[in-house]
Amino acid sequence: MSKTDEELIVLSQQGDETAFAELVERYQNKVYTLAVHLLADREEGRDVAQEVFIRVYHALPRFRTDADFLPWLYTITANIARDRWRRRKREKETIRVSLDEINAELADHRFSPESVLVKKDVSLMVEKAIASLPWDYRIPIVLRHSHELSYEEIAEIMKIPLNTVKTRIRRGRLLLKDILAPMLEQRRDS
Amino acid sequence: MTDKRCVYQEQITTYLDGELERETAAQFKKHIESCPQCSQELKEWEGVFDLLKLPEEEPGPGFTKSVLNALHRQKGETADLKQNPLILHDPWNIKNLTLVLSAIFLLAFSITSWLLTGAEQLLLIHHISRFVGIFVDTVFSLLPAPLAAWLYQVGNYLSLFADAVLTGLQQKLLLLLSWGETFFMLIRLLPPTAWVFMLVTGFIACLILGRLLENKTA
Repeated sequence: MSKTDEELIVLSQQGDETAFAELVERYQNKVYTLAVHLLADREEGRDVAQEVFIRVYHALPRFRTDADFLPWLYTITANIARDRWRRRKREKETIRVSLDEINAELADHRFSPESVLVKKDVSLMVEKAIASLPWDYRIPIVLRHSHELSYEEIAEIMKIPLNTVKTRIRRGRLLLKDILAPMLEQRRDS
Repeated sequence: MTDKRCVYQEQITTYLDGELERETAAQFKKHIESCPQCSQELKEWEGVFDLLKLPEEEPGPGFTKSVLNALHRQKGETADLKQNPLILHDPWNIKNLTLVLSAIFLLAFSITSWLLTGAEQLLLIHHISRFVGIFVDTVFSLLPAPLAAWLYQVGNYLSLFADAVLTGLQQKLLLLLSWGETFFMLIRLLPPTAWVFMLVTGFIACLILGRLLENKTA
């Protein structure tokens, strides 16, 4: 029988590396997915996920076992991803994607002989669209849609008021609706 | 259909989020059936929500191992630091240490050589030491007698210790300098400007060396 999160955390706090490895196995997809969707970069997402678990390992002795583990992981992931994104912005290697760029990609696909976007391409383009949002809108949108968290959970993770979460999600969605409009149109046509 | 925006449109995303009260949701559904504008808007938003459901990603094989390896590396480095805190892990420290040691050596070498060439004590140094002496005497005269006596005693010990250290250092330098007697024959011929020039070029060389070391160790 597999151990509960709480048991694994307690064992990890006592220095049991196997237990910590099991925790990593259990949550690596969630952490990596969040990092990738926030940064739209798989390689950097992997680096962020690794850094998250290293930080978690060092912070585990201070973690209260009665608290929820996953929201804590999400908070750390969002913080590290935000630092990466800021650094990248400073280094002017930003992946800020303009509306024109996304539309141009869509146009390429639209007039290609196949004229059908495969599922993977759609995901990549949606990721890019999300990555073009301001950072404050990006996190709640990703947590709400990809990770299906409630507004309350997002507010807890981001440590901001509930109404702010709602406003950011609403504004982020409106921006995304505009960005994704050509893709939606194409889907309707096909 | 009117140009006016339907009030129910504001509730579409809340409805899709499943955040509408049961009664309000029922009213909303009923309205959608009769309002083509809202129905169209709902379809568009459903499309957006559908696109935003991105699949879960996997970091690939060996991820857990890479995390554990990174932790082991960190632990190893921490253990090294604990065992020997003087280990120079940081390239910045190596560079600074090189610079400081080189500068100290150059300075000591230059001053000793200067004194060995028979130069008189610099006038400025003489005046500064006189001034410091007068200042210290004035301060001591204002202090209570037992405290002043005790401070004199401590000062005496310290100056004796400093003398011993400097003498030792001077002897080492003299030993070092005695190895290059031929070299000093030339040194004695050099004017002070040449010393300054040598000091500056030596320091620049140290800077370049430091930069090279930084590049190699970074």
